[in-house]
Amino acid sequence: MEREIENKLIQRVVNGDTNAFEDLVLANQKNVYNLALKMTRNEDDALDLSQEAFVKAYQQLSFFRGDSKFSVWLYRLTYNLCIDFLRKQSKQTTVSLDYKDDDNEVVSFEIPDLRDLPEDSAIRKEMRKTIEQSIEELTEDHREVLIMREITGMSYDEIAVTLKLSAGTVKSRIARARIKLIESLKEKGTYPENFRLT
Amino acid sequence: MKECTKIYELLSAYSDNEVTDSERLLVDRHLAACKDCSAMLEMFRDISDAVSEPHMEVPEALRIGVMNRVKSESVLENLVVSEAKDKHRKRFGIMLTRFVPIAACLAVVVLVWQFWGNTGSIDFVVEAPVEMMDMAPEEAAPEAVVDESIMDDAVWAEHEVMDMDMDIADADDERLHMRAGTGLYAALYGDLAGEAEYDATYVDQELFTFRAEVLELTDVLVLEFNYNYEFLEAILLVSNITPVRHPGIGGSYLIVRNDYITVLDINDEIISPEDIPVGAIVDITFFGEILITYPSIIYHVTAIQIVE
Repeated sequence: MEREIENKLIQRVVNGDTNAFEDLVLANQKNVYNLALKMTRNEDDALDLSQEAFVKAYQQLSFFRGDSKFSVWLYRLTYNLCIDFLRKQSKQTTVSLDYKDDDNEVVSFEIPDLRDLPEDSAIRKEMRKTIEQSIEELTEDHREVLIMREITGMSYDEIAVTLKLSAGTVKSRIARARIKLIESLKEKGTYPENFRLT
Repeated sequence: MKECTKIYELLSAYSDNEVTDSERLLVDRHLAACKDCSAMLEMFRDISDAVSEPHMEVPEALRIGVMNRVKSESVLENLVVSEAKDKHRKRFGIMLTRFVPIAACLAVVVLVWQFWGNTGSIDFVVEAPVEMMDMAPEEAAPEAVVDESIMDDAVWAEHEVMDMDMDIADADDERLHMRAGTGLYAALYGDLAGEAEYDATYVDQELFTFRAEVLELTDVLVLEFNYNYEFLEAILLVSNITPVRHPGIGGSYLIVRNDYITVLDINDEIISPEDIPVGAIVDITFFGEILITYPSIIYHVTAIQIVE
């Protein structure tokens, strides 16, 4: 959503038009939800935290200065809520990588199809699964910054501010995370040296 | 595969379009000559695709739930602050436990609280501590006990900190910890998980006390908070500040109400105001709604200026 449109909507909400907030929700819910989902690895928690993020954003809307994009502001809020949640949670239980679907069956968190290349689909499935595992194996520092970048599309500078890092650190952590993933995939035999996915 | 490892970081940034023009030129030139790095770039892109696509369908419940909740709230409702005499409020005291005056600006706290909307009065209480009376600006303040168990140093790893630690505790000993950073940024870190009234990221109508040193007297008492960096800014510009009793005379504190300051004694009775001398250490306590966005709030602290 264009920044101008965002700001106009925000103005309307602040002036009392609550319904205008729904447009902001619709425009950002995909990224917010998926960010929360990637961080918590649990659908219910992601739903709760996403809702919380939007509600808090609404509550603070009059404080939003418009220095950055609303969506970036929102992602920061989401990220912080997730971190807070995970910290509380780690004091109690272990983080589950699985979630329960409608039939109450345990399902592994999946990254759905990347691209539709039938001849590669089996390889793709394998790669996806391995990627999931490999992402888990990243250190928290690396994983967070990679997820931030890939899910929300925030710039390095925006991520730097959100995570309280320097832009240089963001840059190197993203690179290192990717390299680790590649190495991990190679180790697991899923990503041969000359294998190309195009 | 030939290891052009030095260029990988650049390649990664390149794949994100996060390179300068000259860097881009460098990479383009290298890629033209190096097949291995071209392959590496492709792999970076593949990895991005694999990790990035927001895939899961967002449940309808999200939008519906959010809109239900926001409709039952007013944007301004959350800016209400309560009267100083409301005894049901939870109290949090934030005390600067030690600070080292470095430049003219250090060890001085200006907190600016901006009140958007106008749903009530904001009460700021400055409490002058008896024990700080003889303290010279150069001396370090006594160290308070810091609950290190709630501090996560990893959070601060990339964050410059100076020697300012602020410890916040309320009447029930719920603790938040604030640490100030160099460049006069302070960060608030807390865990209120045990408190049912509010979650750890939203503190409702709390009383906060800051202790700070007065550097100079000017026209305005300015209190400033920047929450979570640019996240939230609260500014209250106060004019016509009535000076307060000299610290060392115990039991008096300063209340900022909207745009003026009243001095109250320990029984909430209004007393005659007196000067706060330069170099005095004051506690500033205020009521208000503060959003604490975990893991930190950044308080932008500049200087405390109290008018006479």
